[in-house]
Amino acid sequence: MKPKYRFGDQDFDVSPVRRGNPSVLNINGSLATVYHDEASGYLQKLTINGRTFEAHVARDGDDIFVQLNGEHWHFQAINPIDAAGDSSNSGDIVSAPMPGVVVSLNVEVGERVSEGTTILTIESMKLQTAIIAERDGQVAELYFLEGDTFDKGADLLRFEAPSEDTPN
Amino acid sequence: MSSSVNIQRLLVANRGEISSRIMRTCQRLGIETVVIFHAVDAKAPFVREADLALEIYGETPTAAYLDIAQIVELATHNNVHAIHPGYGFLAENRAFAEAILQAGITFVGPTPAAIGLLGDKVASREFVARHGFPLAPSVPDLGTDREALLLAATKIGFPVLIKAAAGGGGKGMHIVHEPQAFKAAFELATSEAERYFGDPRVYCEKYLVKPRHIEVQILADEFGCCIHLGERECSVQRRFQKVIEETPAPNLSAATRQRICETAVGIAKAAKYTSAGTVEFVMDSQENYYFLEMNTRLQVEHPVTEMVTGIDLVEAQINIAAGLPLPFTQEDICHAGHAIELRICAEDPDQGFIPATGKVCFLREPQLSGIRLDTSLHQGSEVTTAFDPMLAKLIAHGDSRESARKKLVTALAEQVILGVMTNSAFLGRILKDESFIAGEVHTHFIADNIESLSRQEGDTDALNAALVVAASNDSNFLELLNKIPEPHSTMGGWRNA
Repeated sequence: MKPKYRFGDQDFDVSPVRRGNPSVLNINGSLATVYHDEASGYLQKLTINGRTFEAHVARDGDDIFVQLNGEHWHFQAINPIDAAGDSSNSGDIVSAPMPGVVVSLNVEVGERVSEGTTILTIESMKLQTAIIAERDGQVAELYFLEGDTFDKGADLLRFEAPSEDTPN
Repeated sequence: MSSSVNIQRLLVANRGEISSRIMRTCQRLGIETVVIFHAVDAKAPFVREADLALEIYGETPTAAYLDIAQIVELATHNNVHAIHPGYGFLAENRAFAEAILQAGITFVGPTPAAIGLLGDKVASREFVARHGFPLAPSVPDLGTDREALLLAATKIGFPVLIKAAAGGGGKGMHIVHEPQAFKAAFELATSEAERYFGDPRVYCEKYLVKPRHIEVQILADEFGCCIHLGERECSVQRRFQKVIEETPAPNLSAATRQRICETAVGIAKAAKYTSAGTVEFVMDSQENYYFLEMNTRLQVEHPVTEMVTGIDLVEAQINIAAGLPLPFTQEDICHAGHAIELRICAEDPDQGFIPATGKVCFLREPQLSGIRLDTSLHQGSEVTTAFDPMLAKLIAHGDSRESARKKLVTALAEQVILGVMTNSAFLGRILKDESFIAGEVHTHFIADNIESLSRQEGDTDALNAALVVAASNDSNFLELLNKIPEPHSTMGGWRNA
């Protein structure tokens, strides 16, 4: 299995081709020649295409944090086994843009809402954000109650097209 | 002085970097230090730095730090002579100051009456207007009557800013560009006002185009001596919250500088203010300025003033609270060089500054001289949403603005924080922005320049380098690497992970 790293919503395959200094890596199908200038503890210096980069790196579980020439890179090492099952369709799921707490729920499950309606208000680090319906529809499921806390990326609610049939 | 008190043991009713900063002064003055802490902060540096650390309890960590009765009770039981509130939490809470005084403890701050007068944004505006100081066009306190407020806002003309009457720190503030957007903004503002300040009242003021935020540091004793320590330029903001502050303000005429500082002293004197305080103004491009609000406490950005004046503001606060006269007059105050502060925050500037969380797994502090780092971070720190996202303040002092700016560029490069996203790369880009270098700042600076300040995509070399570094920390990759035959007898570079 090729090692794979996620940055943002993009995955990158990285595999070694040649060992040594310089080393050659295959990154998403392109070869990169890397001169390893220094490596000690958290610090690495390397040269690619004649450009030298100084980086610090640390790892916490699958999260790999790199600070390279002042810029932050947060990668996730993708375990090949996990990656196989990752095909969830999140089209109608509204997920949390940041970790926080539900301040208020303005609608109930099954309620029809029109575009622009505030469905719920969340708060994170003293900043409140309204989660607004991006189109007409109805709220199929709400996953949190008022006062509940959630992590970044947590599913907040499921939204679906308005049902045309009369409820029984 | 017969009315002076001897402060030998001081409790800091706060947490994080400001608790550490206040204690540094106490330790220098030989004052014993006491801190309060919630369990989530048990491993934080400020807890270890105190002579005595007292655990406080609450439904949430924030609730614990806001529990007046519990804090005053602890202070009484532990024979504390004085309480310093820091900034945020209870720093501008009149009831807290009153409870402290009733317990026979000295409050390191202004009188409860001054907090009551100036801490309420509506009352303070009325007070300032009554005394003839300049105020931006606004509507009076209309409480929570939305229709009346909308009507009044229409009269002063959009865009308007809705602000919490009891507010501060950018919380509960919303710009409204058109009447149609008023309802939604009003509802968010009143809801935030209720949550943060327990008071849903809001008011409106005219929103100026390209305004600057300039504030003046005040020190006043009980004997009627009231001086200023110059101004601070705090225009570089996001979400109405400051991220870069400096003193002196760049591109400000000497005449305006003198006038705005004198206005601030006038307002503080009219309010019979004592202790350290800050009078905030909004200034338009013609250098007309208007009173915004007065903060009756130590500011987050106080270090820049300390670095150019050499005056320890916490020491001054403690001495004033102890009933001592100010040891200097206005003429004694000298301003040397230039200081700039960066607020390092756990947030993602490329995602609309949403707060970031995580655990600090590696930390390296800048080693450059002329740099002051006020921080609560330590390796292993958990950054959660429980508190404000500010992690550290990086402050540089130089002979000139340019030398302070360059020091900060270097210091930012030296500082490494791994494990939580921060705005440090974004701050670095601001420092290198031509308009910023020219001192052409205003409160919309970040919003107007967000594209050029954002991280530039498409640098394949940097991406590849980052991927190589990441992979070299991954056992999955190293396993593959080690299966490749070694071409040379020796090799350098790869770490043994």
